[in-house]
Amino acid sequence: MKQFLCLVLAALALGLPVRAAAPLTPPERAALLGRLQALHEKYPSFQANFSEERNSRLLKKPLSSSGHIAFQIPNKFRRELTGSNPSLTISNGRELWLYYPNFKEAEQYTLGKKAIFDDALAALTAGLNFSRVEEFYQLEITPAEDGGYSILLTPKRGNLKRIVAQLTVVLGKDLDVRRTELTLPKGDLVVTNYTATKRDPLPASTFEFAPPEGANVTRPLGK
Amino acid sequence: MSPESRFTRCFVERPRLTLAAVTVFVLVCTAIIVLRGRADSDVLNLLPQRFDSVKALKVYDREFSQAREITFGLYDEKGEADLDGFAEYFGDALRKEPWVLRVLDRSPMDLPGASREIQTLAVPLLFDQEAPAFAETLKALSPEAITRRFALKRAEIEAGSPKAELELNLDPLGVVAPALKPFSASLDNSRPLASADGTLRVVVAMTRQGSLDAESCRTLMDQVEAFNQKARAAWTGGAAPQILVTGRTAYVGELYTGMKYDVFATILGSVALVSGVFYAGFRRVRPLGAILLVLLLCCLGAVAAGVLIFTKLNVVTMGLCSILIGLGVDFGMLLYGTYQANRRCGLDHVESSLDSSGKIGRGILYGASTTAAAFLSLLLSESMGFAQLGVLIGIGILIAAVFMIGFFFVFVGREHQPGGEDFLLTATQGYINRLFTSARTVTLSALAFLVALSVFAALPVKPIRFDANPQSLEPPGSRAGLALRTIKEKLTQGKAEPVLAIVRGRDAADFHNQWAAAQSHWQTAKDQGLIAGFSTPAAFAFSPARLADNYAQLAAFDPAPSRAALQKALEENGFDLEALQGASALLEAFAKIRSGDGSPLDWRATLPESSPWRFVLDRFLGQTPTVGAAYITPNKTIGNAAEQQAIHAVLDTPEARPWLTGWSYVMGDLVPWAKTKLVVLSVAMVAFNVVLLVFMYRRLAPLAVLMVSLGLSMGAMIAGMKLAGLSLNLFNVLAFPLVLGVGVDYGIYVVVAVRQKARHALAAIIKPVLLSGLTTIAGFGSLAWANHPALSSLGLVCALGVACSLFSTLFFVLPAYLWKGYR
Repeated sequence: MKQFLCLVLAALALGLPVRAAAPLTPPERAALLGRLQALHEKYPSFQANFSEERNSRLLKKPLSSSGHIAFQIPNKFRRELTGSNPSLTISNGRELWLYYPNFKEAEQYTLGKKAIFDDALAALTAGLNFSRVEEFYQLEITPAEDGGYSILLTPKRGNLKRIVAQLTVVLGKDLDVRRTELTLPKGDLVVTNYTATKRDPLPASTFEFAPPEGANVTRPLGK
Repeated sequence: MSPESRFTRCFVERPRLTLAAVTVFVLVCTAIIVLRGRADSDVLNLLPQRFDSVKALKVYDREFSQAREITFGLYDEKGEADLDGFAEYFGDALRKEPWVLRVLDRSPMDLPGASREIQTLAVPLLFDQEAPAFAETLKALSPEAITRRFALKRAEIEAGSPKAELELNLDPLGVVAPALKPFSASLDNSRPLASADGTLRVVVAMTRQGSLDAESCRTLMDQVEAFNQKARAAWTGGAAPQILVTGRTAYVGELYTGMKYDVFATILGSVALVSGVFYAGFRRVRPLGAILLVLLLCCLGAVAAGVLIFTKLNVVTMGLCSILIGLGVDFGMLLYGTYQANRRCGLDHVESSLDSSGKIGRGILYGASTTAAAFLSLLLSESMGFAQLGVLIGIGILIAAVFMIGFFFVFVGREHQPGGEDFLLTATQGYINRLFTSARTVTLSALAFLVALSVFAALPVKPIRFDANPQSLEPPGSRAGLALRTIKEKLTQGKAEPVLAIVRGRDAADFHNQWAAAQSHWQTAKDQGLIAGFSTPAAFAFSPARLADNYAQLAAFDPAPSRAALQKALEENGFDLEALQGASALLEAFAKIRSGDGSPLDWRATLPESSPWRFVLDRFLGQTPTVGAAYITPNKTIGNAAEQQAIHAVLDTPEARPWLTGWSYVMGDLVPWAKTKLVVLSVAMVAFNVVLLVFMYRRLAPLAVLMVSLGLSMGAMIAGMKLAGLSLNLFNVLAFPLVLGVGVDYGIYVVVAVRQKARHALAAIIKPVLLSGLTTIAGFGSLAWANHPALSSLGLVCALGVACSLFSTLFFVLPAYLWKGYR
């Protein structure tokens, strides 16, 4: 609170305009979602580098990580975490794999079997591709100074509220995702910044995974 | 002078003394009822207590906390509401209500504090492991293992592993999950909270209800209703779903509200109908008041006697007053009919009274005896509720006979002027005159009609259905019943209704052994496909022997270095100490147990009262620590006694001796019981009637005519039930002996009537017989307005049966006696 007050006072002192941009009107919002939809239809794939800071209630200090993400509409994705404890998360829409090379551990999840798991995944990918976003979230879209947008997504349904408290997606002028801020129900906050976004087509193999020989494969949610 | 006339004279000639005695009687009865009387609203007390399935149901009702649970079904058939959102909002609002102890509106794992409570629950489970597994647990709690584990978890979290995060939340030390395995394995997805089609969410609330009596249930249900309305009105998330409410409290509250209505509706109904019939027949108000006054005394006397005998009176006994009014008024009308005829012949009040008692008093006493015997036969029903009803009416009807002969004429008063001849008497006289010329024709016509009806009753056309559905035990339109069925239907999705197995151990070791045996036996049955599934409390039936073994192992384990290692590992790896306090709590519990304090082993003491885990555990474990319940899902819902026996054979095991129950299972016992009772009680009633009437008739032929009439009346009654589409159920089968006992009375009055020399004297008795029949039909018929299915179905069938008996008496027995000249 103190920090916030200091900022406001400093802004006033410097004579900067302190004015919150008004949220988009419903027609403006529909137009923006239409543009996003058209963009995703034209370029169904995208990839980017990311850097992430995670504030977990289990840890005293935030955890920083970075890596590469690739996504293909509607539900294929690949997320590579680099650093001293790397990991790989891959989904081809039917199965989801998590692989930890340092521990030679692989976790396999079959999609379409556990409602809560599938809902979570659908909701999180909806935040990325905006295809069915209004089905899951209430949207508040605010224009940004740089010509982009800040989209605040609040879950509509109780089951999703148990997974996501709030999600903010910041889009650039070109409608590429610049940053996401995910607040979890227990208070954890995950802020991810995306750079070097590309919309080139991705080969199907990007989203396929076979556990390396010797890896211990588990199915935490059963078959 | 007959003894009955002498008895009447005692009171008629001393009206003031009589009124004083009556006042004392009223005061004494009222005092007994007010000071000692208590209501028993338990529907289970209506069922015969000799069956283990019924006993088990009572144990279940008493031992398991479901008695104080209210289940809310949030139902959105059209899919317009945000059910999940509403359920969360509703559950949170419910938690704030002062009458709510705890709420289950989502998986206990999703609620705040779940991880801490899991650690608490895990302690006794850890000590119930086999010795080698417990040794592994101690190894995992060693300082080295703890140091290694938290370094690994830190690395896994850095790698973004959701599994590691989940583990740290729920099982930071990595020992709880293996201990919980037997627990989760023994629960067969036991309590779903949402329907698969997404139209129903269930929220369960444990209330702070103190007493479970009917008044407390009704008061609580008022609060529940007010809360539901408030919750729906304050919901801002769009359309609100329908809120269904069920549970024992909802049922009893509903029954209690209905009971009050039933008492007033049936009494007022019977008084109105009986008064109407009396006034139509006699056009006099004073004798009607006198009859009602005597009947009020009878009801008071019967209830006071019931209170003295039973203390707690079942709700079904509230039907007493209506039935007593319907039956007892007969005696008054018979006496008044003769009294009226005497006064018309010029006798004064006292002479008329004494003559009337002399003529009809004996018949009234015989009639009261057969009716009392019919109702007392309910003692053989083995149902506490019906036995009480039988005893109360039996006593009441005898009091009614004696009081009517003694007090009725006192209440009528010396100044009373009976009216002249009325249309009914004239019509009766006309009918009797006709009978003297065409008795044979009337007899044979009635016989043909009754035989035709009896043949129809015997034919397999439109057979009477025996309603074995437990729904037949609940009031029609019951909101709690509808809610229960909707919730069941939505959640079970066609799954069979479960069978409950109650196990009572002599001690903790026996309890453990029985559950271990049952678990193993039923697992084999499941593997063989004999049952669909089962959930048991086996994991929480702790073995004292294992505890002793593990306690011995614990002596060699020092928790202090492990606690220090934990502290260090958390700090070194950057974990938040408060977020992972479950780990240190577990080690503290071990230290406590090692120091001789066994309290962490008692989950009943350590688990917070508000913990949703209690919903899971209380479903399986009774208030007595050595009583537990399992839920077995058969391959299909039990539909008859053979299927019940088959599932009993599958589930019973000599090592566990479970008491099997559940509504569909209980019905497997009750339906054959009800059918047997129908036959046994009817035969007993017929035998009693024959023995009693032998003394009165002293000739075989008229007795045979009466018995044939009774048989044909029963046939006509069954035919009537077929035509009206009435089904038999557990309660109305008892109507058969009652109708036999009540129906025979008209035959007795007819014998008294045909012994009169003058035709007008015969008419003076037959007219009240007709009116008596009509008032008895009105008395039983008024029960049809009752909400309680036991009373309404019993009343309807009895009214039909009495109507058939009356018809048979007037159109078959009376003409037959006149035709054959029986006296």
